[in-house]
Amino acid sequence: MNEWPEARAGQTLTPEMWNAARAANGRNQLIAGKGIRLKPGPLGTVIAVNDNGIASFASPFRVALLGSTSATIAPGFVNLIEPVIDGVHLSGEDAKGTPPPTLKWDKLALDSDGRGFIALEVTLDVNWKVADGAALIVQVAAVDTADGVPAKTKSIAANGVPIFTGRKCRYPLAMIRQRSTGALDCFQIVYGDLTLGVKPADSAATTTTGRAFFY
Amino acid sequence: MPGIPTISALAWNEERALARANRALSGRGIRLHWTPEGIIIAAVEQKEWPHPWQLNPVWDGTKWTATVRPGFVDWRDVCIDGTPLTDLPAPALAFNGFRDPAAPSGISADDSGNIVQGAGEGYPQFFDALGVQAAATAGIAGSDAPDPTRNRLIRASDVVLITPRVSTVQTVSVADPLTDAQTVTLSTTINNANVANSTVSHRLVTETKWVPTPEPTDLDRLLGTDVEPQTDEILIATLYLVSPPGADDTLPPDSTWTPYVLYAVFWNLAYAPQTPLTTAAPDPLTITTGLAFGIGDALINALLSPINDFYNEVTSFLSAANYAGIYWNPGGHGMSTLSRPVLATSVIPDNTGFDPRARRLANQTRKSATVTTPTLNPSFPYLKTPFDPFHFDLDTAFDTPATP
Repeated sequence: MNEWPEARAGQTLTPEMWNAARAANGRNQLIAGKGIRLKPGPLGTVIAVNDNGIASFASPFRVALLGSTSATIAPGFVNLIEPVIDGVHLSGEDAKGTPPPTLKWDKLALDSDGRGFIALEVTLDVNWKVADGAALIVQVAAVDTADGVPAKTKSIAANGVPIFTGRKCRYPLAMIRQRSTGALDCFQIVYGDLTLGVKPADSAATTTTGRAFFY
Repeated sequence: MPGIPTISALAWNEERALARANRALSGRGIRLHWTPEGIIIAAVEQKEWPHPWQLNPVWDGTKWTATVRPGFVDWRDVCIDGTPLTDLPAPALAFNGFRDPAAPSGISADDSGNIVQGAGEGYPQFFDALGVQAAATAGIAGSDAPDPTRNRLIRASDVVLITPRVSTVQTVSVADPLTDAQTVTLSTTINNANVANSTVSHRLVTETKWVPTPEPTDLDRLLGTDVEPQTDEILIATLYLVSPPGADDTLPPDSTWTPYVLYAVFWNLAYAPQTPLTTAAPDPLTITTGLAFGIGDALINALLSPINDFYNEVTSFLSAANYAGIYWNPGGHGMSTLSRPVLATSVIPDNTGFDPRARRLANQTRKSATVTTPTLNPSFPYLKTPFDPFHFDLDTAFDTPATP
């Protein structure tokens, strides 16, 4: 029974009724469930949705431009390896007291449409594994060419992510578009930690090319 | 005279204060609805984190259009009519045709001469509470009793991502059917006309109703009757338009209608064909069987038999000629986190029995349904399109990564 006992006019309030009323008060206590926040006050309890961080979803590999010559990249992982910028892991080096690094460039590498990328560049070892320090963050104009320079003829057919000679592959984290005014827009592409699977071009031990799949 | 138990004013007021403190007040994202049976607490739709592919539908004066929050397929821009989504000004989708999800799916006559109708496509439960007319049920045409409280019309149109791809055709040659050993040659022809003629890798289009194009089966390929589609497609979203109450069913949707978007994809995509694209078709496969005086179909049946020695060779050959592509969401290890809302209409219980408790519960359920309408899309972090590494035979994906 969650309600106070009813009292008729002239009726004496008994200890039983009083105890029942107190018990009902206890059972009517509001308790915050998942996603709900309660703020008790003397006039009532405010019930609100607990929307921690929804509006500003800080995902792994979140790219934030700092002006036009640098960017920060939130910590993320590829095959449980944290990429580095200039040898420093994205989350910084606690032991050395090194803060999270900043990706810097003198001049943005862009294609003819003013399009460039902040990309993850992975060089796989002889066993097609990702070693610590072999995953870098780079700024390139093209993701699908070995040197990061756009090809003269655009490739329309998609063929997965290519692994270039030397077992190197890239995946875009964010696209940068430079507008005619010079302003930069940044479009996030990856919103989570990545797993990299590879499909070598053939089974020969000397093969260093193939296709990569980031998921 | 025995003492009369009394409750002190202090104790009474303390308890009264506690009861008052427990009163529910609506805060951010919460709507309260007081009923004699209690307080219904409902979550109000929040301005959630904007995900890729979000549509912004507007009436442009002559038709419904929508700009799209840029979404990507790997590193490639997605285009509308050749213009990338990241361009300024942003391109817009034009919705030129709509379907009626509540209308019967077909009309026919049964053996008794009755005109019967197929069930309507239906729509998300979200629209029930808006008073949208119920979807047609299968049965005698016109037997659905009209509900005067549900007099809003609904229309729908799909937004689809299309990727041009190469397609293949298998040719079956049966040679010399009168010899003891029957020879069959399977050849593959690659058709890359669509890829060659396309100027963009991925494009968004609107379709009145998108129907996935079926891929040919192994039997189709062996019979030489396969028609592999020259595009890979994935449904991005469905735009629903809901009319004002009592709108004219014969008029197309206009500015008085209200748009709602049901999303099927919430994250950027990755894409790859199952088979790496090559410039040359796979080498023809020639198989000699022990069948004599056979005909093509008998040979093909033998080839398809799992106990046949050639089965693995044939299926491997056919797989090598399968260029169907796959989409998935990069990031998050390919895990699926949420289920899509289902397309179904709901029935609110109408308890008219004599049990007061059951009547009260039914009454509260009805009131609750009007306040706590189901949401159209799942809440953040949204659905993910999972990735299946087995599809690409990625053994190395499951190996233990190198230790730092």
